[in-house]
Amino acid sequence: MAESVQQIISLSSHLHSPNLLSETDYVNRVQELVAILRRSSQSLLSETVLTDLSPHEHTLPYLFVLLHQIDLARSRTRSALPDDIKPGGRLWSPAVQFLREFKGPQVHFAGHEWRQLVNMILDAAEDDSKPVLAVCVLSGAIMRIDQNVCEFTSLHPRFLRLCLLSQSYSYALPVLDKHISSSHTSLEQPARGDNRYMLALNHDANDFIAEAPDISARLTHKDIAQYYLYGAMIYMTLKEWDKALHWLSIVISFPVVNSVSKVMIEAFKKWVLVGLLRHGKLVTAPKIISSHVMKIYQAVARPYLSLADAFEKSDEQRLRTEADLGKSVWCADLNSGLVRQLFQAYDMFLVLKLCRVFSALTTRDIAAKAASSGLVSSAKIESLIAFLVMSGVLGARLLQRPCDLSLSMLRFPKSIQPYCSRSRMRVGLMRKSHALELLSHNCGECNNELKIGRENIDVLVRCQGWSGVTGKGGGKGSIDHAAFGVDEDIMGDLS
Amino acid sequence: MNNPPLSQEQLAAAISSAATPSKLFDILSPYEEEAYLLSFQDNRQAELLSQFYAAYFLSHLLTDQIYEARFLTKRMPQDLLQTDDSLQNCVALLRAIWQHKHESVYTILRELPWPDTLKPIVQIYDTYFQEKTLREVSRAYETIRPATAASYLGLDPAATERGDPATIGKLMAHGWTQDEQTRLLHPNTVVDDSQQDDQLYNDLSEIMALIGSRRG
Amino acid sequence: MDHLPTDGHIEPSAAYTGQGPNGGNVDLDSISGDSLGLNIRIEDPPKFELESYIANYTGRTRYNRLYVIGTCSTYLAVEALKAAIAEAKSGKDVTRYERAVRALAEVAPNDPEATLDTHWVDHMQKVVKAETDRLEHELKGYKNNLIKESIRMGNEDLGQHYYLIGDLTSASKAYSRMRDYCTTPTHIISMLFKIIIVAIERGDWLSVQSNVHRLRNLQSKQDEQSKVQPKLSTALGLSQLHSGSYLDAANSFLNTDPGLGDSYTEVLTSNDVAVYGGLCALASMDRHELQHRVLDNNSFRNFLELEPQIRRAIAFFCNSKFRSCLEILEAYRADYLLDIHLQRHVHTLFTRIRTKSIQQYLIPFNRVTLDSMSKMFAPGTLTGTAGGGASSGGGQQQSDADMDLSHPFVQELVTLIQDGTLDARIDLEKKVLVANQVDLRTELQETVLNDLEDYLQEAHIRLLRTNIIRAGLEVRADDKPREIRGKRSDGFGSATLSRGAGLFQ
Repeated sequence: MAESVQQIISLSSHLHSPNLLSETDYVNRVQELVAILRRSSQSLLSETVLTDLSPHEHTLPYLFVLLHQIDLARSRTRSALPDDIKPGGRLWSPAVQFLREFKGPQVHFAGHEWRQLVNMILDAAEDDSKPVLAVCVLSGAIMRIDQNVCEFTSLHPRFLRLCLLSQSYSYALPVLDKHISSSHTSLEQPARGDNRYMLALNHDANDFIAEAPDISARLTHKDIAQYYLYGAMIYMTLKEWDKALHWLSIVISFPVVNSVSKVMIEAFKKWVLVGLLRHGKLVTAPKIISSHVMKIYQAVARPYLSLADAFEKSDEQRLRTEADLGKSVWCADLNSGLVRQLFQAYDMFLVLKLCRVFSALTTRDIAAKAASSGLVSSAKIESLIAFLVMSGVLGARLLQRPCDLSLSMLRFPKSIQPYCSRSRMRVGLMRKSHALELLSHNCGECNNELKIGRENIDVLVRCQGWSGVTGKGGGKGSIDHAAFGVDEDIMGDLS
Repeated sequence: MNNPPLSQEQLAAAISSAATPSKLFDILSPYEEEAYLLSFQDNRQAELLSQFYAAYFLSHLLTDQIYEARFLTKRMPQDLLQTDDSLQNCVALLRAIWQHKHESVYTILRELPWPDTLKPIVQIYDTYFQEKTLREVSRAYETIRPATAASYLGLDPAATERGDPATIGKLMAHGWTQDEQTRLLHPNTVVDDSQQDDQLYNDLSEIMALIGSRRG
Repeated sequence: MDHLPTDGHIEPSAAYTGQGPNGGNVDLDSISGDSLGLNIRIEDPPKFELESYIANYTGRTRYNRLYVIGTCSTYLAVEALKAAIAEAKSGKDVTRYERAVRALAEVAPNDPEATLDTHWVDHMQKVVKAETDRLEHELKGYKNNLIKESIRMGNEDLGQHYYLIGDLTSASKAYSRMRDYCTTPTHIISMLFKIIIVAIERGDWLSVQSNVHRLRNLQSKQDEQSKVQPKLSTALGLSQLHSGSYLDAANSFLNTDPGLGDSYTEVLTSNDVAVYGGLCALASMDRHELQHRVLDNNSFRNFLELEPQIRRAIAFFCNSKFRSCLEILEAYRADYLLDIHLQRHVHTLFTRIRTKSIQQYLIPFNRVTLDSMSKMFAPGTLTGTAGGGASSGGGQQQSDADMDLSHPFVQELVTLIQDGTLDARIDLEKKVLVANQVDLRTELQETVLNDLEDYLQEAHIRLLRTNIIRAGLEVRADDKPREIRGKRSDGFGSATLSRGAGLFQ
């Protein structure tokens, strides 16, 4: 093995301008480099000094040298997490620097090493209880590596967990929002002979990602469910109830063979509470959840459901009793924060309900209506309503009277529907249309992968000579599914 | 990103130079890790840290990230938070905003001691908060007593009551009017219904086409 | 439990094995339970005169009606109960005599009739016992002789006897046993009618319905049919009234042939048909239907003529004179509350009629002042419709100008809006009721956005699901993934949850 440091450096430098290289050429070169680095001797790597390299220019050599040094530190101290790589240690900042500046496409080919490094950072930050430090870096790193592809790796749940631990939620948002907006996290089937999962692909860009399947470790259902639960929890802390609710419903409608996981049950409990906070009632569960799963949920989450029932029926007294009775439950499930928020939400929905019955009334009337709750004085009510209007929840206007300090008139707009401006409508439609576009693309993609695309079916029909079906206009997807008894009728009502 | 290391000069420069609040936020946020690491050093510069965190906190508020601001107070070194005056001010400010106590927000911003470095940004937030509240109050009230308006907007109640032009000039500038007899103020709502109908219909037809093509 | 003479005799051992035992018992509970009459106290004098009213009825219903009136009306209590005692004494039912005496003792303890005539009681009990023994013995004899007609008649006599002494369960059983020995359709008809009468008194409405249907299906001669039809319709109507299906009840009563006359006075009179049918129709039909099917109904007109106030109420309703309509009904409320069958339904029926009136009234308006509405629907003392006792506070009704949230009429409107009956909102500033305007365009746009959102979310869930299944990552009971675990030991499932959730404080 006569490769020298210089040779590696020069190889790496060649990769700088991928535009000048053809795609295959680029791939070949990167693979060559990775191969060389993987088999290069210890001495060679020790020769290189990290400070001489720039992680941006020489992403791959830097990664390998860094890992080598970490290995050295490990064998020296005989611990899996030597002080050197802990935050503030000798190797911490190079690692962070690398994650800030590495080149995404190259790293794909050294996914195994990359994951090693990231895991190390995660472990170190968590072990040292300084998760804050890793979060920002990882957010950037994950976004970079996900730049063109939307893949799910075992890193994702760990990353979200770290965000939760460090209470720095906004760093998770780019990652989360990306997954939501592309509404697509595809899990590739294990490649032949290789039992690792890859999650891929938005076609257009890096097709060659499939050749680097080891960014992600083996996934379990737990990873995925946890990822979505954590994501929902992050949205909850930021009070993005809609998104939180959606993510929770992903978890609770997780496909099951014969059992329900603990994560799903946790998610269901939170789902009940978030539904109350967002809509003031027990929302309807996704239809896709099978009835036996639903029964399990209902049995396990009984205190939550009776709490929801009290909330829905505007029974303040019972709500308080239920909340008191279940205190130990909420504490054990760590949902007491959400339960506490219920009471604020209760007042809010109380006022919102009035808006359906009245088109104008005084704060004193509201006080009379809300006699049972904590809102006794009209002044308190006025400030609550002012807050609701000011934060845009309620479309109404207050009129103060000159003399009577305790009495203000509340006028609701003519139409019951929330005021819907054209621009808001426009933005909403645009956003939805974008999402739809992506979705239909993904649907088509999925159909192709499942071999139930229209063309496939047409070919099948022709080959097998099922004339009866074609006669009825076999082009229609849904009919075909039924006719051929295709197992995946999951997609049946979507296509 | 090779930022100069965190220092008081650097911080002061950032505060004075940042053109917009979001720029300030962008400048400050990369320093959080550094500050966090600094906080574990033995002879840490408590003053620098407190100023950084306070500035960072205020930049959250200026960019309307109230929830993140709250979590920032949980992320920052807790022992520092307990002992430092400016950070205590921040916590009080957060609480006042959280509970919609407008009057105390203004009190905290104007009367509590803030270090000189932070004063400009505190001032900016005062104005920002006032204007934001003004917009919201205009939306929420059709008529409002001067006293209430004063408490929402941090104005001098007596002067507002009198209709002192210096005090309510800002309100008049927003199209508010005052009833001579009752002294009630009539806020003016800004209607922001932008007229982009053509665009809307184009988008709509695109969507229809999209849906149509999928349905086959 | 002392208001109906029926249930005292139902011993647990004598489990009722007749038709539809379960349903029967359920209904029994509902009529004999506390819901009936116990709490109803009617102060206002009714419009009818007791003597002439009760003279219209025959049979056991006389006592039952008297007893209901006696226990519910404070005005007629003594008179009615005395009549009830006399009625009971003329019969053989000891229990109902005792009950009437007890009730009278509560109202007028010093009245000479309020003490039990123990002599009569003992005597009657002996007589009854002897009679029962005799009839049972006779029946046994007939059975040994195996003569069908004799057995039938033996059972009939026994049933009749049980009926008269108030042992309704045994009566119903005895009548049912006649079934196998009936040889002609006439026998069957008379048997079924007897069962129906017992069932009506027992409040076993399911049994009434099933026996009515049995009777319907029997083929019989034309003239027979015309005699049977009115009784059947009214019996069916009664059972539908009691089960709360007012529209069906209205239809049954409306279809009753005027030939009913006074042929069914052991159950009800033609006047009752008019009242029951009219009220049920008012509560369940719209103006058009009322006009065509009630007012323009030639055969029902015969009934309506007996109770002109019902006719007027319906006519007022059809002409949108709701206030007059409601006033008439209010005026007769006491009468209807003293009716044995109507009593439990008066409140519901009146509320429905009122709600319908309010709905009808609002149709042509965009906005109505609460003032004018309350003049229409809640003038002075009449606001008490909402609750039985509310009318007592009529005297201190404040002036209508003071319409605020505490006003009972506003409260009523609020309830109506909340349960979705009225599509309107209350403006307490200008004191008007504003009909909701629907902005179709906005509504449509909102719906589109919401539907899109739902679709997207569901599609997302399904896509993910497909991908997860494809990757073989479903949740399994043994929790052992098909592949070997990664090197990462992941024992943090629950630990993480606990840490993370604490953030929401």
